[in-house]
Amino acid sequence: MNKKYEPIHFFLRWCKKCGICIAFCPKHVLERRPDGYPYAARPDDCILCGLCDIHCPDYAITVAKKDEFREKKIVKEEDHEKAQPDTPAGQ
Amino acid sequence: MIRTSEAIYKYLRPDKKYPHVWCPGCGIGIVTGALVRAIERTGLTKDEIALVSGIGCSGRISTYLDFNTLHTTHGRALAFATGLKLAKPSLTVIVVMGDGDATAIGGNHLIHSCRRNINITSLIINNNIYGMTGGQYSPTTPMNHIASTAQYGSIEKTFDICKIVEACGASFVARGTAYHAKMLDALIERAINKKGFSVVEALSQCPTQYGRRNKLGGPVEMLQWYKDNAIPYPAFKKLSPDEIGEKFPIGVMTDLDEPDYLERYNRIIKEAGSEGQ
Ligand SMILES: Cc1ncc(C[n+]2csc(CCOP(=O)(O)OP(=O)(O)O)c2C)c(N)n1
Ligand code: SF4
Ligand code: SF4
Ligand code: SF4
Ligand SMILES: [Mg+2]
Repeated sequence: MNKKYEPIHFFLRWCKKCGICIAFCPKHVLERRPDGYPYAARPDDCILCGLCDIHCPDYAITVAKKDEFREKKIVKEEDHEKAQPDTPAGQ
Repeated sequence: MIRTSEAIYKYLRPDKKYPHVWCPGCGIGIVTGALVRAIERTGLTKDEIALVSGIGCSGRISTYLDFNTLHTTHGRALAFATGLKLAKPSLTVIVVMGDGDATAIGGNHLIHSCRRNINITSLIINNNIYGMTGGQYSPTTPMNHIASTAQYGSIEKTFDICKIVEACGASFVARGTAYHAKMLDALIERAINKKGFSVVEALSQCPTQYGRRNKLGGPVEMLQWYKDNAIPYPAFKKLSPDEIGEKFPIGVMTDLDEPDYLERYNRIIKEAGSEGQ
């Protein structure tokens, strides 16, 4: 799968690792990376309910259909590129 | 529903520093998201809206959102907003206040805005504490709960914001929580569309100054508590006192159609104006 267009887009630069998105996902799609940031461990189980999206206090998650991301440019191309956190993994 | 990234591009001021200033897991960010989605649903343009806020963590909302904004002094947001609304009635005026802001120092402005029924929407972000200044107790800190100024637990009774504003004459009164974020969108939208004074109380977790001190867990546990204890108002009314315990009602509690302040004021302008003729 093209990882860039999973149904859940994380803008981890803004994420504060609070864990809310992981805790309330009804399908247990999300897990913590070793550095504490969330990631979609089972993206194919996502039902696009949007709970993670509206519960993220830092606007670090956008949920949409994969082709919508591509076609409607819901997340700007440069923001796909800039999504990773400033601090490298493990810090 | 507007997607989060679309809302960011449209409504967040790009020149501010991000991530925003609020602590990890703070509910204010969630409530701000609901406010933006509600505004999107009303179809109003950014220029038609004036967002007025007081001082506190919640008051910071007006820094980030790209409307006409007025970041006022602690407790006085409604006084500024009243002047603004009278000077330019065409503006949709939305006021964001904290629980301390709205019900302690600004309590007098709150009750009289209700009494006047001025066409303003108030969003009161109730985190049960003075967040910004270090966790002093507020009028909504539950009795016996710990605050930096109540080391043995607060000995004062707790305000029920919805009951107060209802008794004082607000046309629209509703309560939501950061957990019930989607419902909050709808409540805020209805409040904005309502003519008259409308109040939405949004319960919002403050893990840093309130949760930690009272051993309520982190943001996840605090949101879980809202999820477990919030009951839709019609069902809540049927609960017996024994069943209520820690439970509290959410949803619309008051929705009245009454003349607002400007309607009455315009009538006077007309009547007084015709007298000299
Ligand atoms: C006139 C005045 N008195 C006191 C203060 C100090 N002060 C700043 S924010 C605040 C309380 C904040 O509590 P709340 O309104 O509940 O907002 P929160 O930070 O919890 O969102 C106080 C007392 C002030 N800025 N101005
Ligand atoms: S959209 Fe719903 S199902 Fe998909 S990851 Fe988010 S919370 Fe889970
Ligand atoms: S809810 Fe948002 S800030 Fe919290 S861990 Fe998830 S992505 Fe990060
Ligand atoms: S002190 Fe509390 S209300 Fe203020 S930003 Fe931190 S968690 Fe939020
Ligand atoms: Mg407060």
